[in-house]
Amino acid sequence: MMRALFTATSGMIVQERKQANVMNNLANVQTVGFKVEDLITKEVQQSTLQNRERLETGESYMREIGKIGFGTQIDKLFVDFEQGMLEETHRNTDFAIDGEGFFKIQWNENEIGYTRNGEFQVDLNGYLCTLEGKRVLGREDQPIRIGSNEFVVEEDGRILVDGIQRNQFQIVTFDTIEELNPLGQSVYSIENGIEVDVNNTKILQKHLEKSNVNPLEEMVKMIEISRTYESNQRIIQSLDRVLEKSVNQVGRV
Amino acid sequence: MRDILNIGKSGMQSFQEKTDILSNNIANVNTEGYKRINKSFIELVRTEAGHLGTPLSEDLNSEKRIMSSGAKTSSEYRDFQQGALIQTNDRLQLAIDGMGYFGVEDSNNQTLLTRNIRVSISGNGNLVDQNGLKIIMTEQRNLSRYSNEDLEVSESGGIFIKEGGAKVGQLTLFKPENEQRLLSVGKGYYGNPDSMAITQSTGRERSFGNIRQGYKENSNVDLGEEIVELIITQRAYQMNSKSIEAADDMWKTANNLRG
Repeated sequence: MMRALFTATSGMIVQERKQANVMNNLANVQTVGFKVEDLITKEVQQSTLQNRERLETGESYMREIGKIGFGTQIDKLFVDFEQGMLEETHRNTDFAIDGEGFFKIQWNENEIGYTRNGEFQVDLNGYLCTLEGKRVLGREDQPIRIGSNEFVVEEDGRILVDGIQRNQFQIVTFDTIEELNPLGQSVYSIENGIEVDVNNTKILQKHLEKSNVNPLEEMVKMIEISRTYESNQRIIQSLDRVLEKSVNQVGRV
Repeated sequence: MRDILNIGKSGMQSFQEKTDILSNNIANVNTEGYKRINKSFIELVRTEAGHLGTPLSEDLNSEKRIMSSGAKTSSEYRDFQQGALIQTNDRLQLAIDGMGYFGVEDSNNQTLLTRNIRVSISGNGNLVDQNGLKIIMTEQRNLSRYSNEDLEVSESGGIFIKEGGAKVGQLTLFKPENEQRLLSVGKGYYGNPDSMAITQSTGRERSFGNIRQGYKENSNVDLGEEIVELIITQRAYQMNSKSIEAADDMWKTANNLRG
């Protein structure tokens, strides 16, 4: 009986996290380069129930009753890397990747991040960086220095200032794209990932990739979540009533 | 439960801020020389799930940042694209077809950049703009014996006297290294707060733009674009308020556990 209470509680907690996830998707419905996320849940590993029984001879033995699961848990975070819509803008420092691949940025001193958010700016020292000031990496993982705001980027990622090639965007992808961990700011990191060069990918200047969140899908998910949450609450309530009976009525003389 | 309400709040707040920016653009749709402002959205930094008492499977590294926290807006930036040039009846009104800026000197001798000026001759023979600030130019002669009506401006910025065609000055155009670092100081002027490099046009005026006499540059706000953006933003705002409502309902459900 008590076990069932915790089973239903785990359901409620997990649904709450799923709601947080949906709310984050909805808050980022207009965020450039944002990729929709989903929390995948799975059943807690089943345990075998056994009962100790006695033979006629008085010997006792264990009889297997069956398997039972104890609720639900979060298994993984699924990020859907499907390409968002590309939108034309007027800014020289707006880029979109048409095809697979990620821009490389210096997330912190010793960590490299990967992002599809190409909304960049030129910082005070003339380096190309994200809106949050993280530098964009070019050839040999060196930050891209442009200087002026006037430059042209070819579809293959070559950066030209006054017609002279200055650097080149390094666009990479991974065979194990599902291993990428979101860090926030639409940036992802990977442990032990091997960078793979991309084919047939175009860099578009004065374009941005919009968020790939589908609001309708998220609203439906939200309904599903709140109903599941309610069902779990009902289960706890009815368990509570059963417990009440066994405490207050069973055995009353 | 409180943290998930905050996610919805962060969303609503960002869309609110975006609406402010859009309204400002729409209000300035007919302001001469106005450059539209933009604000972008950024996903907030995430946290690990490990400490929240959430049941996690053994395969999931508890240091993975699976807990998201919403969105925020970036700082504002301007869209410096050229606005439409409109013909006026005022022959002293000058606009630039190109990416350069006029320069004027303010009362502290600081250079301010602007896209629209209306020239006139001041009492002491200088060429000044509509607010009485001295226009930066070269080859300047004293203009006190001419009147405003005598002035003629060529496409490359030369100032001539209509009768006789004598050249009395040459407008200097400016091009900042990075327009995003210009600071709007009002009345269509931009200052250079962190003293970045600004190139002057002397000798190569044409590559900085052609001067159009009798024209003014309108704002570069595209009303259609702004309204569409406004509708999207409002709907997104609404959606986030719904998500808060749903989270609130869930909290209520939890509170009703003991009926």
